[in-house]
Amino acid sequence: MEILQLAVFGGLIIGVVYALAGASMVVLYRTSGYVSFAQGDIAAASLFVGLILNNMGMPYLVVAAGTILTGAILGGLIGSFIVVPLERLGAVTAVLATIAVGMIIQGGEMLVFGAEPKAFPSAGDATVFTLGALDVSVADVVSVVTCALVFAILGLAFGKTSTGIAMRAVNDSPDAAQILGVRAAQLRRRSWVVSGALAGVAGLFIAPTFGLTPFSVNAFLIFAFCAVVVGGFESIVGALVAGIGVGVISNLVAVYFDVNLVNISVYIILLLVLLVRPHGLFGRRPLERV
Amino acid sequence: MPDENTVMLAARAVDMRFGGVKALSGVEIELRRGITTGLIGPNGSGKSTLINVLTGVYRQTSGAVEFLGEDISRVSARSRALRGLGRTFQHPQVARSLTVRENIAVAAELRRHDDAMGVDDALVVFGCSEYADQLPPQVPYGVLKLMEIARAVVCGPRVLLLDEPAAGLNHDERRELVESLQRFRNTHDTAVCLIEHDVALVRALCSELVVLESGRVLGRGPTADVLQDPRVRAAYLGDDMAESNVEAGDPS
Amino acid sequence: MSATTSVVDRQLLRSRTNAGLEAGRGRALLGMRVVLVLIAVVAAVSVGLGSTSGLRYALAMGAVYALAALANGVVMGGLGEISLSTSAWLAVGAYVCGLALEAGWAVGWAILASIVVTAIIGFVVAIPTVRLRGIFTALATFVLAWAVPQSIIYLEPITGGSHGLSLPTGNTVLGLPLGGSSPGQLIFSYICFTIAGLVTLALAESRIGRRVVWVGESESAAAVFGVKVTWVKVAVWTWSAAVAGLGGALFALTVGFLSPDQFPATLGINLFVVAVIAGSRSIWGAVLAGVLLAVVPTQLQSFIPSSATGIIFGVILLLALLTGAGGLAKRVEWLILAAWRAVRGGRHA
Repeated sequence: MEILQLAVFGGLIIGVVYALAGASMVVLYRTSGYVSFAQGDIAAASLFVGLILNNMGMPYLVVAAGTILTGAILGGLIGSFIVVPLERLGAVTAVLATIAVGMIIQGGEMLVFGAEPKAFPSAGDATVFTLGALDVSVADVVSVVTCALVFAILGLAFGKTSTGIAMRAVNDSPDAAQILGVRAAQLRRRSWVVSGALAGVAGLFIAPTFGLTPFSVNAFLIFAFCAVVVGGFESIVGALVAGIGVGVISNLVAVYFDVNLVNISVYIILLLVLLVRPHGLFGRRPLERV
Repeated sequence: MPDENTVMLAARAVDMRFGGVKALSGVEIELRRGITTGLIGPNGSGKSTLINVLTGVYRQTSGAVEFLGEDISRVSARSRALRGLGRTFQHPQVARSLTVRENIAVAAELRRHDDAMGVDDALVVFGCSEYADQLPPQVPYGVLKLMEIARAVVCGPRVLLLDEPAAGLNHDERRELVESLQRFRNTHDTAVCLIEHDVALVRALCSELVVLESGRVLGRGPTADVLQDPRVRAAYLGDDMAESNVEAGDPS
Repeated sequence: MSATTSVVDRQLLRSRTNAGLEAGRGRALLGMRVVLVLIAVVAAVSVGLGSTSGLRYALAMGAVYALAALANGVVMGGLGEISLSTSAWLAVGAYVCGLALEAGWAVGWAILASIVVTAIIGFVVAIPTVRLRGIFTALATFVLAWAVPQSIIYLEPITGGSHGLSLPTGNTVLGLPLGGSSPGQLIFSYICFTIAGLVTLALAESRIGRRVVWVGESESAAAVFGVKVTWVKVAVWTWSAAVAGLGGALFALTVGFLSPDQFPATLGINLFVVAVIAGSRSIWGAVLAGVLLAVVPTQLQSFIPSSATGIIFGVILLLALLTGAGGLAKRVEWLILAAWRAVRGGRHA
């Protein structure tokens, strides 16, 4: 029973981080219609900057702020100068560009920092309370609160602000994008800034637990990918529910079956969901035009 | 033995609803062998929706679609194509990496009836021979629209539904379109339905018209009569049904 | 032949070859492309036979990756979809081959087993996968590739898990010794590629290939005309898996030892990237892609640490994307055509 508790509650907490990491991808998808394979690398690069700040003796808040800011700047640069200009050649080209950028960042990190895992400070390791057999730390609480805040803000932004609505319009309708013209490209660049910042935020909760290497964030992000796809890119709520679902189910599979079955189970879940509800459990079906 | 007046394809009391919008109400249409029927109406009157219902892309909310008298409402679009329904699209749907000839040939491989026109003949009848070995991006828009019709024709369809074949065509291309269709009709008795805005084109090619407005049939009958009908004329005052000067013979 | 007819003929030929160049397929350039495949293969083998064992080994791996690039090209060039799971098929093909050899099967049967098993699994996976589009296909194939190393570990009783699987040594085919940097392996691997490549080319230029392109580029039209779109797509993905399975078998024979960390998801990404750089529809381009991936990282190791080769590939990919679609192969073909026309134009002057 204790093991089950640990699995479920542990999955819940990590699922929140999956959802948070997924938010970065959702923002980009809702504006531009594709997924970036570079988010993990943007996060890692931002974290390395944060690490430098940390090693200089800066307090955690400065480290966190530095990480998020780097993510925003890096995302903005990559989007503006590389990916958005290539969007005119199609979504496949844009995705390839994100793959290319990811490879370059990864290579750079390997050269500069090497592959040895580095320790990264967390928001706080002290136990706040216990859920059954699980100790919930300050960092865990902060991650849940941050996730709630981020989703609330994103939900509001996409639903109510003119920028947010414009971002959605630009993706939903190519005609709208054409009418908005230059503004559409500007919106897409902005979404890269936001997406980059969110990648940094997610990284702040990933690195302390999993260590920081050029690959560790990417490995984590795959679960986030799956969560977001399963939940539906159109839906923030979906990302949250699916993130928790993925977290809990992977823990259960690891505990009751075999830890080495986790990845393939995630794949099967992904495939099943995509088969039955291609736009995710909470996603909207787009209008089919002939 | 099917005779001249055989009803090949029909819509019977068709309603089509999308959410809260009723796109078609009680629409009846008959497409008969050897007859070219024009389907006209203002933008948004439901013409394309009706074609999609007839070809099986949409399933109507109520009513029936009949092929040679048999109810095919539940038959998939794919199966309807195999039974002999051919269509073109408003915006040409072509494979960019296949030449004009290949684009037609891929469809010809799906032919079900031996009396279907061959690829080379289709290229000639529809005026595409000059561009046969070129790729769609290098070919004039008008030729692509003719190619689409050629592609539909080589499957030997019993019914041919043409969705605005003249849209985007210039004066010469429209004349080419009319002549191509007339050449085609000289040797084939396929039932043809032509959705069009161009009144002169419709006059040149269609012996019968069905007029749609806001999803309902406003009028039907021989072309000249329908075009004289004051209700029909009233519906189009100020609308974009343009008269263009297309030289062509009388409707057959 | 009168002057006017020959002018018209030349114009016709010119427009046909232009179309063939632009589309990456077509009868007009078929002969040239077959010759280019043979040249590429012969070049790779000749260089390999005349060089150090290190380079020979790398070139043998080049044939493996060329098959993987071909597999990616089939899906990308035929259906326009991204496949990041070719590393998964390499793994399946490799382990099946390894297990078959361990069980005492002859090389030929082991390779056949690899192809068949990979094709079957590829077929099963393709059925759900073809319902996806664009970015979702990329994601689904990526997640499959990512799940493979861990699954190999899970199947430890069969695969040897993280301890790895050692193949029996002394494999031969028709008396030719295989393995590692042996000349036999190099020759045999490229012969396998040539067969797979030319068969693929023949299929692509046949009515089957035309139907595939129709489905890939104008799916709604094909469906409305009665094409069984789903089955066409499944067939393409299955063929892709089979080709990669063959590559996997050669991987096993060349390397001689298999372990899960030889098939990470990044391999799937790299294989896709080089296929794009070289050009998806080009068979001889696949040789280019394979050799690029196999040779560049190892040969540059003396100048650049291997970890940074990602930077190089990333930069090359970006350059390829920025300078327009079509890939390296198309550029080379354009040059060849231009040279050919200059020569013939000179004669007609």
